[in-house]
Amino acid sequence: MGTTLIGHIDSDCFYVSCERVRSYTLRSVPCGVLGNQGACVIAKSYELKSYGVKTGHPIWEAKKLCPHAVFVKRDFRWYEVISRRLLELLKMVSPRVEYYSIDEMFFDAGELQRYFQLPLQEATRALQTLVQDEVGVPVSIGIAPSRSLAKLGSDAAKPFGVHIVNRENCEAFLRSQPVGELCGIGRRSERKLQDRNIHTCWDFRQADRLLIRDLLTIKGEALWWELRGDSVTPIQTSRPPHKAIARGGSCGGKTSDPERIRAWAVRNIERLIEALDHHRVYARHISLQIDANKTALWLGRTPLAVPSASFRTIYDAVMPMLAAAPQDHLVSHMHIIAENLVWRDRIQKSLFFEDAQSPLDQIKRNINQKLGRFAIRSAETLPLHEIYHDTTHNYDICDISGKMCF
Amino acid sequence: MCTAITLAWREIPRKLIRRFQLEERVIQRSETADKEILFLQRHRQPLLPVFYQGELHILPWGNRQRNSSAPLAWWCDVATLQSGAWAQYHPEPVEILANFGLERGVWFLIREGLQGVLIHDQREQPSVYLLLQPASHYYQVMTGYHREPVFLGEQI
Repeated sequence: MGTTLIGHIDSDCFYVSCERVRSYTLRSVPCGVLGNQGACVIAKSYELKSYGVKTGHPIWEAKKLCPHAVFVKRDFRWYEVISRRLLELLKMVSPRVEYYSIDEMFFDAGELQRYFQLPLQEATRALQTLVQDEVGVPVSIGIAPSRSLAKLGSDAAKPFGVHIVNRENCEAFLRSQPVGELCGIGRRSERKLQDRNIHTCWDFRQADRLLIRDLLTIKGEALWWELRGDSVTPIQTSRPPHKAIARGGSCGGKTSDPERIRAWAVRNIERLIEALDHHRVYARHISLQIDANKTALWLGRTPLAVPSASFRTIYDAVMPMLAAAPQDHLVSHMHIIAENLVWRDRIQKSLFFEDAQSPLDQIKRNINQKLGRFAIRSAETLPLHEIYHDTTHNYDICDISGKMCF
Repeated sequence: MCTAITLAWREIPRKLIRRFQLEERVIQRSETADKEILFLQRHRQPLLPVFYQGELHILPWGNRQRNSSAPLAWWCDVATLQSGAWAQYHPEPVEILANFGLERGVWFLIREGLQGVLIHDQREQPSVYLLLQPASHYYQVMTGYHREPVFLGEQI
């Protein structure tokens, strides 16, 4: 089913806006949301941005740039609550909604005028006001015949604006947008395009299609069509199955202590099994990636005899890989990746191997669902005492099911 | 620790603002932000907004007067309180109302308030002490200090 109008709704400074929903005193205050360890700014309000504070700035730099800014601890669970409220509201207005990321959604805007009984511009403004009143977060909205144009429109309308890209204003709008603003054009692609004298989105649109395909492959060509108003990528209302699921990240600082490295591996296995349970899949392959200074140092891959989400099976796959990894570097990050996934209800049971999950796995899952994450955990994670003794010292992740990208 | 707090102007009754000349302590973080009243430990007369016996009071923050029987301090450690070392002063728990707190140059959000203790000296003059505890990992990284206030209903 196609639509002639695609909308893109993008929350303005989403994490800060969520905090402002429950803390009125933060309104209009320069505000930064801090990451997992409380050291880095992961989101900022427009007021804080105007002082030159950027995402990723450490707090000691941010406080120098804006001494009266207020910093807030991240709360991903709350951000998910607000994100889902926005999704539900949008589903009332639009027949099809794509949950693109925590703060961005694409929607079929074909029904917008009928729903609000207003012309398109006013209807879009009405939607923006509705979101502000019902969800409490300010959003920018772009409406266009294709996704790329809609996203470009909402980006250009920030903060708290609406932009409708139509045949009349399309040329002027695309001339005003540098080609690097296009979603999918990274720095390297931008340089390639600039070498061919393609600087604006209008230059991109006017360029030869085969040249774009030559430079940027089929993805670039899709963008070229989208800029001409031909919708290439439809709105996806449900997420396609994962190709892989990974859990891991920082090891809480660099370490060469084998006990701590092992403890991190076990904790990541437990997190991975949680995710496999949530998505109702089993893994056929398990990979382990060890990083030193955020650079991949070592990668191992082990096939499993049968698709599994069993702690014992995954543990037995990971530990030999960990033992085989070089031990002469300080480990900073680690990832355990479940690949070649298969839906749980589509596997053939084996006569010769243990079940994909043992009764112990199921008991552990049930208790942790009732009493909280890691209420029951492997004793091998005990060396991570700083995490278990201080509830604030965790490694929370912004992982929301159903959305299309991070 | 926490060397200053602010409370929204609108949350303090006018009569208290006039009585304690709190207009002098008004700050505003941006042109459109709410006005706040700054309670700084370094003020000549350090004060705190305290919810005590069912209403909001503006009370002295700690004690600097040597002729008072109240402890010469402006904070009290939870462990000290629990050890009974302050039992002779008959400390009473109070809620300190605050929106934001300041520690080593970092302003942080306070959602519900802070825990404090109230002590009356020999002349029945009240003093409020901020209750402190060892800082969580997060607070320590955020502010660079190893003690944090006792937050009401949350853990930063």
